[in-house]
Amino acid sequence: MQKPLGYLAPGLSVRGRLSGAGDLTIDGRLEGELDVSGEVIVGERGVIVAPVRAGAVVVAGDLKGEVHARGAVAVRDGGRILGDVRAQRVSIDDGGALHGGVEMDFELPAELDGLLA
Amino acid sequence: MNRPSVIPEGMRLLGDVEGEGDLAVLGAIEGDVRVDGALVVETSGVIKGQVQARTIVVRGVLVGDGTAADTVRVEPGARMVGDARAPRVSIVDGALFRGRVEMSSDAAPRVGRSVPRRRTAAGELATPSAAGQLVSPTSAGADSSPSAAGQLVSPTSAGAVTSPGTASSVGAHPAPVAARRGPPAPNVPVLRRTEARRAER
Repeated sequence: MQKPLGYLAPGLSVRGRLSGAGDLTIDGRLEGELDVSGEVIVGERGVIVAPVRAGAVVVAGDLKGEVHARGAVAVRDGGRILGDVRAQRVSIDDGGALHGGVEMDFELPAELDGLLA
Repeated sequence: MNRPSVIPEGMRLLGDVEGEGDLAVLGAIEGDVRVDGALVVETSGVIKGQVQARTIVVRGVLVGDGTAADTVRVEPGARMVGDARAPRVSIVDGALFRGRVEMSSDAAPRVGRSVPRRRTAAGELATPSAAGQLVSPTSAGADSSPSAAGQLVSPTSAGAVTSPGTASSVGAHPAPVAARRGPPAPNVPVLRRTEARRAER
């Protein structure tokens, strides 16, 4: 049997610090702090008001708070992030919204070194 | 489709859960839980806090009171420390339980049975009212809305109500008093050991 994935259904509200291993899909509401190793999916009806640390984040609903992902952060059509995003990759689909800073860690071509110095 | 909410194994919540639908707990929650559906604490699940639901099933660990509108069921392998309050409470053989059991019949009257007098959870005798209905002392103050006041009110909020009926509710008593009032302890070796351990502290 497949292990059940973390899920907050519409109408369910969690207040506090949720942390640990595994993935989590949120169609309900989470307020506080979120720190998980896996993927966090904010569904269309989902609302997160919390700083988020995760392996990856997909937002189709509302996310208010700083986001820090080791992998990718994706804002889907209808999704909204209010806060700074730090991740390896960040993508914003057409129809998605992001208000805040985006920080992706990458190197510029070595040839630029002389120009920027 | 009503997909139940899940706190998965390996995840931990320090805080409260409240809302609609069912909730399965395979991880850990330290805080209070209140849902209007079924709450299942699975084998790997741990809750430390007060829980309220329509039905509560404990297969893992629950440290705190469980109050259900319908049933509380403590299954084999489960460990529960706290009071179980519901119209129907079952502790299945093999479950470990320490606390009080309160089955209030007010919310779910047993039809077809005529019992002139019965003991309430508080150990006081309930007397039949004029209408022939059983009125227990604990819920006398809240007769008009048994489901709201008799069932789902937490001990803390019940204490805040000024009505004398609710104030005398068993949940408001400190634990030691309640323990003395209860039936004699069953002769279970595990319990004796636990009691001894408790006495040492």
